[in-house]
Amino acid sequence: MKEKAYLVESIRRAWLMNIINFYGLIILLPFYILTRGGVLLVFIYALILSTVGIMVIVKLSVRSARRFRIRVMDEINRRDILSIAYNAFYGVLIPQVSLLFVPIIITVTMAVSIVDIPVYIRIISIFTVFLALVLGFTYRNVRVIRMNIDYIFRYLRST
Amino acid sequence: MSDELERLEEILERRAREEPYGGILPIPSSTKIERLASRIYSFMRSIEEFLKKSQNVPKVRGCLLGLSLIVVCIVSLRDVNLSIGLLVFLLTLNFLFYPEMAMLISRFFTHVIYDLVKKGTIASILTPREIVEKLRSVEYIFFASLPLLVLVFFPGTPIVFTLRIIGTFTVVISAIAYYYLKMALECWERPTRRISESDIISLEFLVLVSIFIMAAVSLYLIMPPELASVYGWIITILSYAFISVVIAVPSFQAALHVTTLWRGIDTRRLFEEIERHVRWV
Repeated sequence: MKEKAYLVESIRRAWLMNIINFYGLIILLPFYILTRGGVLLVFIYALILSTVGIMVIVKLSVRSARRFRIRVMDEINRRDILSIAYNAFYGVLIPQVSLLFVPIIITVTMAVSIVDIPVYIRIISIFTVFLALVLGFTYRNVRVIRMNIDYIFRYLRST
Repeated sequence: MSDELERLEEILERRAREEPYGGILPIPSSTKIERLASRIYSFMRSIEEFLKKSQNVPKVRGCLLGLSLIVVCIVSLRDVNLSIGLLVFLLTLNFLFYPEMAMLISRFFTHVIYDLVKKGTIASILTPREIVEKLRSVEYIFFASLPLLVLVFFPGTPIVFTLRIIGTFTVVISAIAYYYLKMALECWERPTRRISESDIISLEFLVLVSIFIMAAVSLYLIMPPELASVYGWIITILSYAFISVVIAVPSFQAALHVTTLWRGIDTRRLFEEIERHVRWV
């Protein structure tokens, strides 16, 4: 029973993780744009988010939980083991991923745009930093994930 | 008889020695021009073979569309009205020569972009047939938008600006989708293959990452300095889309690996069951 609950939880995490991150970022976009319009606009948007936004989010989460239940039940009934296994793996592995390179890239881009240097040096430096960070972090993330998958495989073979 | 044969052999040997080059015609060595022509010929043949393959057609047609758009941008620097007319003409021409283009573009939006909006990620479970279909449309869009990255160096007319933004976004999204679909297809072809960090050092991955970053950097050039924070937001969402796809590949591979093993175990059990119940004559 414990394993089944963990399996469903992993699938739920895989399903929700992408949706929350994607739509969470979209909800945050107006903050970035409204900062140019002044503090008042940001405050109004924050007020809307904290009042109407909460109610909308509660409604959406209930709806998405229902949709998730229907989807998982459908997959179980259809014996779609590939989809279940994929989501279970993804749900277990995605929290291990480090996204630290994103704030570093943003800081570097902003810092480079403040410094008075020629455009081509600016582009080359951003490209180099971006490439090094993406490659380094992708390598690290895939390594961590490979180790976790190996661990899961060892567990599956032992049972 | 043997004496006569030996005598004949001696005569033949003597005759051969008397012949220029010992009776053996030298193989004429090719000149530099001939070697060059031969290389060009083999190169052209390889191009012909590349173009003949059906799986390369979307790539080639995509490149042609991209180059047509570049021509439109060059013309737009002189005359905007003329460039709009040329754009319509070249799009129609591309469509007439390759009617599948409409289907490939629409499939890119309905399958890839819709998936991204609906699920928050490009990665999804697909059968090999679905992957091939999706891959063709992604390849077409990817190769069509790749030449548009050059537009960063063009002065900004409205057409150039619009195509620059469209090109940059489509390059980023199609590069990510292209990587995922290629890897997913490989996973299906070899379900027991293990994906490790050494796959990150492959040339294909490095090229795709470089293109992804080039497109991101060209976005930096498009953005006005006042919207630097919005650029940060775009980088965040693109990086998330990228990393979620890169992580999806090992998960997909592991799921295929495990389910293939399970299917194998199930099949073995089935055969064992049959062996127990069926009396072999």
